[in-house]
Amino acid sequence: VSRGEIEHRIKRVLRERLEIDLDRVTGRNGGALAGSGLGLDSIEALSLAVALEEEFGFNIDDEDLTAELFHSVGTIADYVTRRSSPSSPATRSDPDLQ
Amino acid sequence: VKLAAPADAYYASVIALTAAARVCPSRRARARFARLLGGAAYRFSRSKRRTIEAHVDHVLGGLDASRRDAIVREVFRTCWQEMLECSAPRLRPAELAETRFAGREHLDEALARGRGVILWESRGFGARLAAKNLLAVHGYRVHQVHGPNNLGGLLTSDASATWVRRALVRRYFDSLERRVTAEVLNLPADGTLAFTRRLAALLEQNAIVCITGDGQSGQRLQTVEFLGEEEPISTGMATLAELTGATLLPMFCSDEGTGPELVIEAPIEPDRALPREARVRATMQQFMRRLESWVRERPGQFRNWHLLRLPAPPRPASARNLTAEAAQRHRPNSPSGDRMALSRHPRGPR
Repeated sequence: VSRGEIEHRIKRVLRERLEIDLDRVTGRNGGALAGSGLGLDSIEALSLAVALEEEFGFNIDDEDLTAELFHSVGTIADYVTRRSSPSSPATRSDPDLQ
Repeated sequence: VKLAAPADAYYASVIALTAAARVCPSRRARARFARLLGGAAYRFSRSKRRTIEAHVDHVLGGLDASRRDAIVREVFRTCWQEMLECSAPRLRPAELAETRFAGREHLDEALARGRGVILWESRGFGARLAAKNLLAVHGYRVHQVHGPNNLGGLLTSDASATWVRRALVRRYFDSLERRVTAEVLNLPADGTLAFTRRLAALLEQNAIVCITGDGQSGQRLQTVEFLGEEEPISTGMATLAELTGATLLPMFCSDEGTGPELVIEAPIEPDRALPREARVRATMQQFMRRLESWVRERPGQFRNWHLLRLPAPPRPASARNLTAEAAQRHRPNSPSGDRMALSRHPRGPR
């Protein structure tokens, strides 16, 4: 699955599950979901996590469930890419990869 | 982590007073002790007292001096009543006669729905601990959720800043609160979100989760109107109710020295016609509107007058004269800076 397709599916989940205005995601703060972006709260992050688990077919471990993971569509896509890759063990999203 | 900080001496002295209150033979005796401590705090906490007076004047307006003074004294008494409540034993049958519990049917109906209950209380109104005590006596054990900086009702900017606070003060107050609750959950300050799964699981099991509706710590804050001003409030519980379908029940408990009066109000229903963000904000605004009506009706029960984002009170003339020159040096372009500064106090009972 390409990176572009992963980001497309993440944005679809955001739109359908959380009614998030995608123009704001892409237009503000480099696509940030947290901080000065949309400011997902912790429960919305959980809601998004549940939706992502269903969408991509894996469980997000408790230790990975952090505010950093949900910083932006990019950090989520990094995580999904890692979890989707059979040769790579799941680790925390690395900001350097953005 | 530092071992201790100067503020910890204050926390230790509060713990000593709550421990001393255990020797009170009855709730009435403890209420008298709270009145004594509240009177002393009123006398010695001049800065806090002036701020409360100014904010009460600003919000309620048109009060004569004696009425305002009575409210401010009651605020200090309420602060200490709440602090001493943590050392109170379970309500005895004879004391139950002095309590009132209204709106129980709302709680029972919500539990019958089977999707969990979120009891929304105010962090600064009335007798929060007495409410849990009363609920426990009536057979309802709540899962109490606290923000990362909870310190048993004491205000702090960092509850984990010292070992004393983290390992002693918080543990002391949590252990007392556990006597009247199913558990005490302190939210983490490190950005981990696994606790959200725990909250969702509790509600799925039809548990009663109790949390403040006017809390100001969280990943996201929304401003809502409260007492004529804009207050930033955490959105977490409104969205938790959205996610889980749990019933949101506002809960207010006041105690004017004659025994706790617990009221569980009718559920707050999210307006499904609104888009997500507006819906969450409207839900929070409903809670704050109900809280405001309680504060206006029983202003002496609101312990957080001094924390409102209102203009700071004018200083006494003598203090103004002494510091005017220094203030001007620091703020040459802001002659009215003192009056407009947001008033925030670093510590003290909430």
